[in-house]
Amino acid sequence: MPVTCLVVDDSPSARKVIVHYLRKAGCAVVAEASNALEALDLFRQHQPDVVTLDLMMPQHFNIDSMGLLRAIKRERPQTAVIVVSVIPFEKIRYEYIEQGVLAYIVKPLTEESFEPVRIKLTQLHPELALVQQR
Amino acid sequence: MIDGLQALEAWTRTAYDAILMDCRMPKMDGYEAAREIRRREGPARHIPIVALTAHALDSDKKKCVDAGMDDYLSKPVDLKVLAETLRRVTAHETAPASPAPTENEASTGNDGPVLDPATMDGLRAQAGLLPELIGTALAEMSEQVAHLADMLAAHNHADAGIAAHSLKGLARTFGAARMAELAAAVEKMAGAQATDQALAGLDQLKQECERVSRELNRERDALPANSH
Repeated sequence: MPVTCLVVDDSPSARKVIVHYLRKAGCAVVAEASNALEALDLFRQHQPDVVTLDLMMPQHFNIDSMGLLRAIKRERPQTAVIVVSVIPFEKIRYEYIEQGVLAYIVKPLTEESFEPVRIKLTQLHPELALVQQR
Repeated sequence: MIDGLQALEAWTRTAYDAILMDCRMPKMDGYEAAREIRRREGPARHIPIVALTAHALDSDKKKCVDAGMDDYLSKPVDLKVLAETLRRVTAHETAPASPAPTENEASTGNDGPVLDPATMDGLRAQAGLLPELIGTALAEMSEQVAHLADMLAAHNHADAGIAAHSLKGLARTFGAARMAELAAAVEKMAGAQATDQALAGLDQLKQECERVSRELNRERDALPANSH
């Protein structure tokens, strides 16, 4: 069973970079979304193990990234959520950490900044070690 | 230190860069010690405190954050994770706005390279990433610049702010420091509903985006033929 991921970011370039590092870590990216509403649909449909979450996206029907995170944690608390955002502020980071995110990465996402996340994901899903490209 | 009281005493005597705080300790536990440090240092100072917990349950994390700690690590601690965490929490301590570059509009910053060489080297090292990424980024950049102009013209400051924010993120991906700075300035002005200033900022941002585009096109042309 592959470790499945949903990538949520309004920037197609950011999604490309995130998908690259997730695949390198051995994960299977099953869906991509560019806003929180679309993401919630795809989350329910695919029930991924991992969700990466951008924080500032065009909003549709009143659901923002925090709303999406709460819905994910309510419906499948075991989902590992990784915030990938340009926003560096501690206060916002706390708010998301309080909601149980696995990691909070400040963009740009690089080999270096992704490494702690790769380690955490591999701790959660030891089978990833077998398929990682080093 | 073997307990929270000793930690507190050591902290009052020495100016440490950061504290790694075990949560379960005799006499005074880590939560209480962290709370006491935050109470005594007041709002002006903030020593980074990283909690060490046996299990990272959500309830434990919440207790750490509530006690004023900056981050938490679950045992056994991985050295790489520890190094990254310390780097992050101490970076925030010395420069509150980091790792964002200065958002001061007055700085010209035209002297530096358009794209940071180290960032570009990092991207080149990722097999297969750059050829596709450059095409996507070029399209996204011109779309977002046009969208930003439209939103400002329509006085839709919220969406203008989001477009500027996206351009900032895009700039960071390639280490385009000047572009990120200009995008951040426009984002700020959109947030303040200062349309005229934002439009002036947008002109500068457009010029810098053109420079970034040229560099990215040059990079794409220089890629090995088989990676196209």
